[in-house]
Amino acid sequence: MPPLELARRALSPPVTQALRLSLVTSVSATLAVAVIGLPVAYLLATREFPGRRVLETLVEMPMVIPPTVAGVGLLLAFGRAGLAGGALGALGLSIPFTTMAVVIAEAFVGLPFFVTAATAGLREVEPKYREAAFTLGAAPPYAFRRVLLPLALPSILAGGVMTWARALGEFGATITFAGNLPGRTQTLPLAVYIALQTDLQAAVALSVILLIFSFSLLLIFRSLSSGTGGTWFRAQRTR
Amino acid sequence: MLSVRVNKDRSAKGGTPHPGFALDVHLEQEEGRTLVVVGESGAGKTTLLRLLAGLEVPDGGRIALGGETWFDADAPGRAWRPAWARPVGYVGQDYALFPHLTVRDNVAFGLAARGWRAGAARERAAPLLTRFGIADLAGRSPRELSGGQQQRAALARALATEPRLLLLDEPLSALDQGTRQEVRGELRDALARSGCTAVYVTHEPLEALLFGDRIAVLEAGRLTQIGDREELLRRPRSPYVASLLGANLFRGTLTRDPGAPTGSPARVETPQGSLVVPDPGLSGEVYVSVSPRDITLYLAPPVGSAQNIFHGEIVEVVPQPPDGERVRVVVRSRPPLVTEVTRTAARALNLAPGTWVYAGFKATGAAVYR
Repeated sequence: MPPLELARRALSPPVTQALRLSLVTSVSATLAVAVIGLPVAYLLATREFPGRRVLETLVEMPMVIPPTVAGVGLLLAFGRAGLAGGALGALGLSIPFTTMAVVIAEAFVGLPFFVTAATAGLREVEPKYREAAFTLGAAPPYAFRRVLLPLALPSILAGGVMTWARALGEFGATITFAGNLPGRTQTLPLAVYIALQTDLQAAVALSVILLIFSFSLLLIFRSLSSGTGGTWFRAQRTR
Repeated sequence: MLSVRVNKDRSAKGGTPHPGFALDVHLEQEEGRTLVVVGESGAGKTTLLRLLAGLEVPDGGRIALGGETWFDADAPGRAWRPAWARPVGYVGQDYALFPHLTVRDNVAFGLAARGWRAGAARERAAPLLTRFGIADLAGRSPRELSGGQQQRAALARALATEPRLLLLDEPLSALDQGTRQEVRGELRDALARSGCTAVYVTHEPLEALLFGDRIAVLEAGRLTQIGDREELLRRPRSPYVASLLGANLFRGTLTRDPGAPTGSPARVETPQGSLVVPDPGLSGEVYVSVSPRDITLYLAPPVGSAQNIFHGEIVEVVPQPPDGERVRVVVRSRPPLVTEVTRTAARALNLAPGTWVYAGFKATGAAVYR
């Protein structure tokens, strides 16, 4: 396909719509994962408690189960008869087949990547730094924010990028739990799949766009976290 | 008054390098003074400091400083103050300066943690940086600092919050010999100036003698002796204490002959007598230590290179260790000396309490430091 044709297709409304939706949902999912995953990672990295193995296994589950199965699970949980769905239904909210469902599906499959990386990063920070913070009068939340978090930041960011990448490519759980509604739940991977069945050229165009997009974002992150960009990170951390 | 009575079973923690015994310590320390806890590695020194700092919970006992209870196993509901709620300063073996913060922000950290605004905390840290001679390094990363500078930064950081109890875990052990000499004097001055109660842990007997108003000897988790420097030197109550502290230590004023050429020996005037020492390039009050093994005993006035010769009566002859190859001989000369000779030599000279001897050592056998 000539580049001009590719560009024309890339800017066509259905593509930009899917791309925008993919961006919004994958970024939201990553942020949600960070908010939920950080406390979990902190707990796993610093505490010994009964049921720790169970928690670790639960967190890793989405990594090993097929995404469609994850989608079915989410559908059951958030469906009208489900545990979470029943409670939300009483408030007049229905999650399945909404943009929110896309975010939940992406977050669900992306969580293990973040928690695994963040736990490893936090565990690598030598206990002496946390303890030094404690003896200087820093309670655990402050010690976490000023010492643990900045020291583990490279791993945490790497976990975030992996989660985001996983969310961006998410297909199975999304289509099962959120469906395929253009503009609301049809993310770029779903659009590629649909296009493949009707318009091969369009599918190729979408795939190329997704490839270029992912590659540039990963490249930007890489150069930020090492080389000249490393100074930028350090500067941010020393602030 | 710092009052401590703690026990902690360390064998329960399978991962520790020295499992198999419990720490059981009972001590009281007057406020504003330094207590040195000396003992071999594995004796439980670091564990004791961690219990005082609130980084570990004792199995039983009580810790209190000046009416504030930090831990009490017998109080209803078991009283416990975590590390961040105790007015302590802690300087660990490798300092643990935060690598992601500048030296200035390291020193300001404790104040910021107590709710000071960043600007105010930094302002307050400035005089400390100056006092410890690291003001021009304030913007650097701790990684760029030498060992001695890191030690100063760590001490400044610990003192910034004006702790009531300063805990020092082998603060000089990470330094090379030369730097250690230099930092030692500074550290002692800093401790004296800060006026806070300090617990200083070391395995170096010399440091114990230099830093301790009071010295506690920790052996396998238990305090075997606690007392002031002179008491421990004069009346060691266990073979370990005796061998540990078996050094002659004097404090006096350094003097030089006005007309003497450079490089010639100097004198140190102590309350108990005068010593000839190599010129250390220092002035004022100094410490002189002489190893007991560097002192030779004679029955007649010796001729030779020994510049320090003292005449005195033997007050004690103790095999060292109890059935060992060497003998400790205490001579009541001016100044009094503890010497150590081989069993064979002691027999040949017929050394016994009551014998008058000459004790001699070369000027170069004396170590002089601030």
